[in-house]
Order: sequence, then structure tokens, then C-alpha cells
Amino acid sequence: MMEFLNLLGLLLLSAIRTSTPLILAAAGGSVCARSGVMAMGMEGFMLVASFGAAWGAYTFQNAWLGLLVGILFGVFYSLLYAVLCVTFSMNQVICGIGMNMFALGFTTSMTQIVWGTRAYSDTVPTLDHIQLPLVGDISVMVPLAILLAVLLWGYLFKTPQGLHMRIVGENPLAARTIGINTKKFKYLGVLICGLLCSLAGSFLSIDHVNRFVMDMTAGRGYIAVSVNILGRFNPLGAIAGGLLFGVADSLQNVVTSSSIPGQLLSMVPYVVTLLVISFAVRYVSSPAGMGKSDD
Amino acid sequence: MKRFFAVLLSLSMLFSLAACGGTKDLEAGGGAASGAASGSASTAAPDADAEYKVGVVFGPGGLGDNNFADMIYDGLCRARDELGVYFDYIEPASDGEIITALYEYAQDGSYDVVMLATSSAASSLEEVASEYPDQNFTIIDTTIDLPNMRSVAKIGAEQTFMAGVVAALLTQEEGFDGVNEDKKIAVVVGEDFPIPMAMAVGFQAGARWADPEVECFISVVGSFSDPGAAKEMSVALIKQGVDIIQNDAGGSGSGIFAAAEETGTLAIGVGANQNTMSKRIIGTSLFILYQYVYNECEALVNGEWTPGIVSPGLADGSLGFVTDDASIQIPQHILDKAEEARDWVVAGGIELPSKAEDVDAWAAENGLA
Repeated sequence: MMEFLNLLGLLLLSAIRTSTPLILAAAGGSVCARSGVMAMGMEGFMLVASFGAAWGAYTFQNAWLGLLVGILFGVFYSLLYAVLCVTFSMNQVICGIGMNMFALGFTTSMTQIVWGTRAYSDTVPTLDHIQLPLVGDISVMVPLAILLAVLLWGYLFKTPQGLHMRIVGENPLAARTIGINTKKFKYLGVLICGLLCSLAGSFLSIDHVNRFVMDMTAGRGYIAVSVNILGRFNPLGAIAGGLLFGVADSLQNVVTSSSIPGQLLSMVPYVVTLLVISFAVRYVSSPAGMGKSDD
Repeated sequence: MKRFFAVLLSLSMLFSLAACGGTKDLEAGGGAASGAASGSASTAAPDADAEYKVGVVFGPGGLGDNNFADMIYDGLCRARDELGVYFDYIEPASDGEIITALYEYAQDGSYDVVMLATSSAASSLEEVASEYPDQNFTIIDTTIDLPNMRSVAKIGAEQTFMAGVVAALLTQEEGFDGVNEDKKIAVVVGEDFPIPMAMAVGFQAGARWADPEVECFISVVGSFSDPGAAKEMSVALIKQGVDIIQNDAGGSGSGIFAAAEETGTLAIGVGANQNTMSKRIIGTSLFILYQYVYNECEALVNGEWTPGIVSPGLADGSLGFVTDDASIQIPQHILDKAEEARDWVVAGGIELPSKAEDVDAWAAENGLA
């Protein structure tokens, strides 16, 4: 029994750490979606930011400056996405996937240029951990992710500004007729998404692990898209959805493959995704104006 | 709209799957090789009229992995400089492009040997090689049985066998920095492929040889490029009493080292010498691959190239355990024991198990408790 409780505790802690980047990205993605822009580029925002953070931390030998550089990289990259999708009305799915591919190529080449090999960077300083009651030593990003998700929920659903943003996401034409600057809200949505994805990406390279590795986001940006839908485009839902995927992912970390075949455990995250598609998604209604161009 | 989301979700799933299957190099590496610049196809020597020409097709991971592909490139460069062998190479962007690259070299007809430096598209090579029976081929990292094919496939289990012995003994060394009282060690594997799994099992076999009471866990990350997941896995193992973890996870391996640094436990590298990658590494389960590539070219130049299977192993010294440049020195008596284990395998011609379920039978067969 003691051993079981011990394992359960391990599983929960591991799930919290695994879900942190998902929660951050999905919460950002939900704001982006609510403003009517599809958050398809999250994988790319995260990857660029995680490279930027590692590079900054390596150059200045300071993790906090690294985080700043990571945020600058990620937000600038999301700005590019906003310019293409909002100002130039580009197809958002194509643009998002294109930006994800470009991010992989860009970060890999830059790793080659900076560190002489494209596989991984040198070790870099990492952010300090904090002590919390009950859980003990934990990354500062974990409470930050929860806090930011709650704040964004408050912004979207409890402020007039947030209401305006949601109107833009539902029906840009109606929003314009009542004098709302739709482009402004769409830019804001994408940039907030970029900021949160930057935190998620930086978490991977200068907090969770101490170096940048080629393609280190490993599909988390795409999983965040699913988490976002599962969470009904609500930042609070992103917390719940992120935790669900975190638990599914952590099962294989905690349970060693000598007791259960590893293949079965590796299957769990995908089975969860399938179940989400089959059962949960049908009850989700997305912002009506999402993915459509303004003009 | 519902249908749209279903499509979107399946897309997202597909991409995450694809991302998992990204880099398939079998080991992560230290600094043995020169990181070559990326590019799809390239000419590596100006002298295109050289007598011997080799065409190399790399895996989708490509050059710059600081390990598998770079070691091959290193061996080719040595052959170029010392033997005057000319080589071209292609870095396909995906498994699907490998077959095109192979056809390109085979059709050209001017290459003495076409080499495939990955096991992930072996079936493509089989197809091409059957169509061009007069062209000689070499595959590295797996075996194909064809009359015009030479296979270089290391005995995976032998690479980590000595490390298993070292870890099993070190985990009982009282008062050694980073070692706890539990007799538990582990190996973290990138993906469930035959050679990485054989390496994990070799580690288990080594531990069994040294002390049957030591528990050796195997965890599979599911990706060769996800250090975050590898770290979570390592931390979970460490929290369950494991104090030494063997890296068998390619690019994910740095997560194992990060976990060891954070918890003050120990790790073992794999492939090229990784001992300087972290302060918590006690040694590396080495694989000297470049020598084999060089030997291939040398055989070509000397007219001794023959089809068949070459198996780098402990016996020829291309696999082993090195502690050079490591920050932590392990006691000499443990290293002596590891040497003894190697001699036991080499002198006795012992065949190590390559599947986890075979370890018990293997131990019984060889008189280990």
C-alpha cells in the first residue's frame, strides 16, 4: 500500500511537470482561438522560444536573461504569424504548419552555427526552483502556468475587453459594425499565444532540461492544439486537459516496462487522443469566426 | 465544424506521431566526429576521378548528430585523406526519400559501393539491391542477406555488457558519491527497436553476471529526440531507488544526464565518448564505428571487399567501456571486474541475449544464479 501511494505521488508530480508546457501553450492557444485565429503555429513558437532561451542563457550565462531572450524570440515569431494571417489574410492552417516547419529548420541550423553540431547545444544555466508546501522543490513555471491560465480566463470571460475579443472571434463583421477594432484583438490574441508558448518552450530548454535539443518540443505544440479543443477554448479547460494528457504521458515514465509491456504504455496518450476525438469533441463548439479572414 | 475538428485532431495526432519517429540514430554521442554542415547532397572531395568511389545515403537524422552519422562521416574522411577514396553523400529528409537516393547512386553505376547508413529503410535497400545485382552495397546497423550486400551490424548487447557489470557493482559500493543503499540500476531506451533493446538487455545481462540480486529496470521513452520525457522517466526511476542509469536514448539522453545532475545520482553514456557531457557521468559504453567505415574503404582499395556480415563486438575491441575524461572516477577493482567480464565473454565465445525475456534462460545456461 505504501509503495502504491508512493507511486501515485510520483505519477502526480511527473504529470504536473509534463503538463506544464501543455497548459501554458493551450491556455495561450485558447485566447488566440477566441480572437478568431487558429493556433496552428504553437509548435513553431515553442521551438523558436526554446532555442532562443537556451541561446540567451548560454550567451549571458544567466537563465533569467535566457528566458527574456526566449520570450523575445517567441513573441517576435508569433508576430510574424499574426502579420501573415491577420494583415495578409493567409490560410491559417497552411501558415501555421509552414511556420512550424520553418522553426525546425531555423533552430537546427542555428544550433549548428552556435554550437557546431545540430544535435544539441552545450549545457546552459537553468531557472531556480522554488519550494512549495506539499510538493516540495518545483519549477517556478508550474504555479506560473496555473496563475496565467486563471488570469487569461478572467480576462476573456470577466472583462469588457475579453467580451470584445470573443465577439471578434465569433463574428468579426458584427464586431466591426459596433466599432471594435478587429485587427487589434486578433493581433493581441496571437501575441498572447506567442508569449505563453514562449514560456512553454523556455520551460523545456532552460528549466526542465539544461540544453536545447533538435526538435525538442517533440509534437507538444500539436498536442496543445488538441488540449485546447478538449478544454473548450477556455484557459481553465486547458489546465484540466493539460493534466489529462500529462497523466497519460507520465504513466510510461513511472511504470517501468518490466511490469507492463512498454508498447502498451506508450499507446496511452494516443488512445486518450482518440477517445477525445470520438467522445469529447462533439460537445465542443468553436468560435464561429475561427480560421476565417476578416475581409 | 465537427468534422473539421476531427480532421484537425487527427492531424495533430499524426504530427505528434511523426515527431516521435523523427531521429532514429541508435546512440547519442560525445565529440568524436566533426559536425558537417547540413545540405541535401554534397561532394566531399574535389577529385572526382579518384579510382574508388563510395556513395553514402544517411538516415533522416542526417549529419551533425555528434554520433552515429558523424562517426561514419569521420571514417569516410579518414579514408579519403589516407586512402584517396572519393565519396558522395545524400542526407534524405525522410525515410521515404531514402529509396530515391539509393536509386540515384545505383543507376549512376560509377560507385564501387553504395552504403546505407541507417537501419530504418532496410527494405528499400533490399529492393534496390535486388534490382541492381552488379552493384555492391553495404548496410550499417542491420543485416540483409543478398549476394551483393555486406552488412555491418554491431552486437548491441555486447556494447553495454561491461557497463552493466560496472553499474551492478558500483550500486553496492558503500559511501560512494551518488550511490544509495538500494541495489537498483536502470537503462533508459529511446525507442523499442531491435538494436537499442539488445543494448538494454546486454546491460541487464552484465548486471546479472556481476550480481543476480541487483534489480535492473528498462524504460522506453518512445522518442530519440525528447529529453524532457527521458528526464521525467529518469527522475521516476531515481525516486524508486535507482542510482545509476545507462543512456540508450539518442538525443533524448541529455534528459537522463540532467536528471542525474539534479538528483546527484550517476549516469553512463553511450556511443561516442560522452564522458565530458555531464559531471555525473562515470563512463561510456563505447562503439568505435569510424574504424569499420574506414576498414570498408580499405578492403575496397585492397580488392578484399566481399559480401557477408561483419559484427563489431567486444572481441575486436570496437565495443567496450571507457572512463577517459570522466569527472567521477570509479574504483579500480570494479573496472578490473568489468575487464574480467569481457574476457569471460570473449574467451568463452558467450552469446549474449538480445531480448529481455531471454535473460533468465541465458543466465541459467551459463551457470549464473
